[in-house]
Amino acid sequence: MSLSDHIRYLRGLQGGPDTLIVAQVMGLDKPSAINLAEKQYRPVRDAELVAKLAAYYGRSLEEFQWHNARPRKYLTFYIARALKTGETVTLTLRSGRQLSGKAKWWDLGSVGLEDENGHLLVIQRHAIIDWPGAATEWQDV
Amino acid sequence: MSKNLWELRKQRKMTVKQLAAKSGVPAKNIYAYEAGEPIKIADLGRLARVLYVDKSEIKIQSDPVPKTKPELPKPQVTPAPPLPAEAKASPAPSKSGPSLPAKEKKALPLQPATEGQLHHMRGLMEKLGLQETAVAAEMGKPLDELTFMEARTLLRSYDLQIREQKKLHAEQRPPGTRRSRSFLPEGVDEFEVQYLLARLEAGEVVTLTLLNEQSFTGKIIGFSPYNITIKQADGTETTVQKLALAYYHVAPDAQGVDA
Repeated sequence: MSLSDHIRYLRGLQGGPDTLIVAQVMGLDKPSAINLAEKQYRPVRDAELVAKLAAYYGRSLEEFQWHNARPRKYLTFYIARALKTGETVTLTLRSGRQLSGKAKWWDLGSVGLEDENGHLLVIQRHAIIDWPGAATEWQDV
Repeated sequence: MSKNLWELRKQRKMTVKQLAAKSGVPAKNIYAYEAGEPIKIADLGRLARVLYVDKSEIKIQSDPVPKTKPELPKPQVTPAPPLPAEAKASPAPSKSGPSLPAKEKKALPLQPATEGQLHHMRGLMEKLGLQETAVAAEMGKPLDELTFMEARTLLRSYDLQIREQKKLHAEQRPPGTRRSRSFLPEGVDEFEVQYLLARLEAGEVVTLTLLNEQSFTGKIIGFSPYNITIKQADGTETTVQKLALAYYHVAPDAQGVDA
């Protein structure tokens, strides 16, 4: 799961306070940096912001860095490659459950995965927390 | 085949004032357009809507309206005695008062095309695959020497061509797809929408599994980019926020019909 999805999820767990309120508590003038961090597809490059967000949500910096190393864009690369090569996809969800199968399609919010029985699972991208080579294969892309 | 604005207006049996009132385009603009001034893109759409034609069916620059004066009986004129050569060359004396020099229409200086116009034009030419040398040859001068009005006319025609291309692409798209893939494929939620729509229309039962592994099973009765609403067997309607959702699939006893 990307840091973007993770902080959206954590904000949701808090009851969904407005990012303006989050920014004020964090001591930021504007919520724009948080808004962008929640939306972006690539890693959040502002290390200070990552640390502040981790502190705000009461999580460890390592946890946030772990998520930040798995942005949405890298998941896209993984699924797109699997579609091209036909390799079996293995996705680990936030609950710890692992789902495997052939990628059939992917889009803005989900991945269509055909399991071994030929049934299509529609997996929400924000629920995918890890996948093989997530943090190592696309660092230079 | 595009037609002059005045032709289309007359076909619809409308006056300029009526067209102005219906389209919201000021009458003075319509007069100007019918006199040959290029139609602004924003006005083109409005006029086309009121005239029930496609934008491409209206000529951006109308030909002047042919003057058809009613033929009046010609007065009997007795031939005037021949004038001396000098008098022939001088302007005719006014009927009222002493003769004044005829007002010469002052020719307005031709404004050159602005840098912005040229930049925009080059961008559009690139999109249309036009070579600058070819366009210059067609116009009879380099682009930098175009006048403001020439550049404006060209820009309008390029803009129209691009619109036509887009329209053509839209027609060639496979059925069921809303638009071509954007640069970022992540920007489109087409597949999931199609999947949900198919399940909704077929009245299939799906199982939604949340991030905490809790499951809900029921028929999809509605969805949006942010949530899915199902009707469970006991009649309960449950709306699940996608942010809380991990994955979903057609319920096992209904499998075999999912795409």
